[in-house]
Amino acid sequence: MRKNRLVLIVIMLACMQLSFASYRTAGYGWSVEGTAFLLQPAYSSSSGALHILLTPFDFEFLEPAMFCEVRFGIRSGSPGYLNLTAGSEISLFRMINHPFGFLMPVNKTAYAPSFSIGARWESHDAEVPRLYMQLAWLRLLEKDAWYQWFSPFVTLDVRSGQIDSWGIQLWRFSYLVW
Amino acid sequence: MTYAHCRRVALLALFVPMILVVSISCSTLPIPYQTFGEDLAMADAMEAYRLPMVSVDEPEIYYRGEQWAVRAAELIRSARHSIATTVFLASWSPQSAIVLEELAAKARSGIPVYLIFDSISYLEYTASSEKMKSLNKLRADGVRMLEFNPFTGERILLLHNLMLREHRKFLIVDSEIVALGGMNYNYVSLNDSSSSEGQRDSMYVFRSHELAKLLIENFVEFWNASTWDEVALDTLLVNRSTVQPEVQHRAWVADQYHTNETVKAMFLALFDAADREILLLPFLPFLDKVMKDSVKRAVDRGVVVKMLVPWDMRTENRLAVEYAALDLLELGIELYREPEPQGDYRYPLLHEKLVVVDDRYVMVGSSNYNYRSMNLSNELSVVVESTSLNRLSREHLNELFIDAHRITVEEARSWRKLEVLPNYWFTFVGG
Repeated sequence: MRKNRLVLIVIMLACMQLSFASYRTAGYGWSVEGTAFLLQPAYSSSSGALHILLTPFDFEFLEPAMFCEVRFGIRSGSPGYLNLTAGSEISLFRMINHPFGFLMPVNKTAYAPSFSIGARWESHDAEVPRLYMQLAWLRLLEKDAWYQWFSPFVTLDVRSGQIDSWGIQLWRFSYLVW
Repeated sequence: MTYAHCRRVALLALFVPMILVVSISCSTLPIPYQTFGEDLAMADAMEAYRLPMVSVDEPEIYYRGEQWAVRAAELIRSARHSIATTVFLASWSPQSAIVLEELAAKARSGIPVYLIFDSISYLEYTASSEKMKSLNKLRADGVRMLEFNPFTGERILLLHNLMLREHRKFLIVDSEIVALGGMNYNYVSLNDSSSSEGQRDSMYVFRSHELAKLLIENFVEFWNASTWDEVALDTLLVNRSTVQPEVQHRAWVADQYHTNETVKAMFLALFDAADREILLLPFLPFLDKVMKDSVKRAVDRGVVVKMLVPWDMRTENRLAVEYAALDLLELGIELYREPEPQGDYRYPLLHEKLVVVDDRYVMVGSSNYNYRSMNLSNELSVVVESTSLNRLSREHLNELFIDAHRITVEEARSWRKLEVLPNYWFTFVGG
């Protein structure tokens, strides 16, 4: 236990040092998505979320970022808290010359599709987290902001190993301000 | 993955950013006056605030927009290696086309041309708004452009960055010539400065490789931190064998970006090291506590602080400055304003920023003397130690002061109306 704590502290300190070594390594953002539950359709929802993220590295390939997201929305006609998701968002690669420049024509963007994996705690069944996976195929980066649109995702029930829900995140904008 | 594992990951994801936020230090500038007392020399003050020193020659001075446009076009036309330029407002108009077409021509000829401008260019509410056109043609001609902190729907919740604006105005040609001051590449800045749709402003042209090198290094760092269209330092910087001009002056540089507070430091240094007199054209003088304390220290030492504000034809701005007047007078500042225009006459806006200290120092550049310039804008200002530039600047100021009206405490009290307060706060942060 003591060893785990020590590892945790070392990781935190390392992240802090890395953040000072590069530019803008943490931020916040928001997203909008729709979710459909396969076995329990009553839990399907439309929602918006706020997230914080940490991106301490600057890799051209497989750059990891950590995020934590809290989601509110409308489920069965009632608004409220829906779920909490925490995980890692991995940029698969970064490309400066790409065909999606017309979407953000002001300044030059980088195309960087990502794969996210994490744990999602649903408010209606918080005991066991779902395994959350998302593919952001249309994802553009500015140096101080990330944008992604139409990203499909699924959640797996780790007890049964089956897909619990799926959905499309319509957009997700992240702002790197620290 | 067990529940305990997931919980640990979640805690980590929450906890690390929190630690980061807390650990980002809020720097407080040291105040050298407290160490040195009344004998603080300007060079010591600048050094104490870690402002880099360079050598510059006697600058060319331009007080008229239309003359600066012609000179800027000449300088750009003369470029053989590279051009780096930054302005607050850039848009196509008959007046700015003189400069912008030269930039485009240079880019077409294969010379690297890099332009940074602020996104607020497209939201101008001056006379420029009726004349301006997009800069897209420049991009098509090969000018590399960075629109700073763009106003787009996707960035609407990027609240902090929306407040930060690029306010520097400079042009660097061939790592040798540096022009800096208050003029933009837009209709009002480069218009006839005696026209009511023009502005009275200033630009200073220095020939100094040291100054150019410092600014290009900062330009490249800033550019690469702001866009994926990155630039290598040697694309813009060419090392030159330093040819010493006949006249050389010491100068200190405050290139404020990424909120590094260097312009704030420069103003504090000026006020802490002044011996006798400070004359200012502040444009929109809204002071925060640090600035007020700095003025107070100078006044308490017996330094005369004189400030001239324009008669701003934009009523909202004028009322806000009037609201602030009482604060300035209570600090011991002698506050003057241009006389009220008679009849249908409309002043071209006095947009100039200038500080003259004693008989030796002059501060020029983009920075207003206000809260926004100290805290929320990128700014470039330079203090030059030059008795000749000081004399010329005093003569120029005397012409502006000659008809100015000294504001009394009674007037200032009569201007402090509750209904102007929202206007004052808006201008305090946004002006």
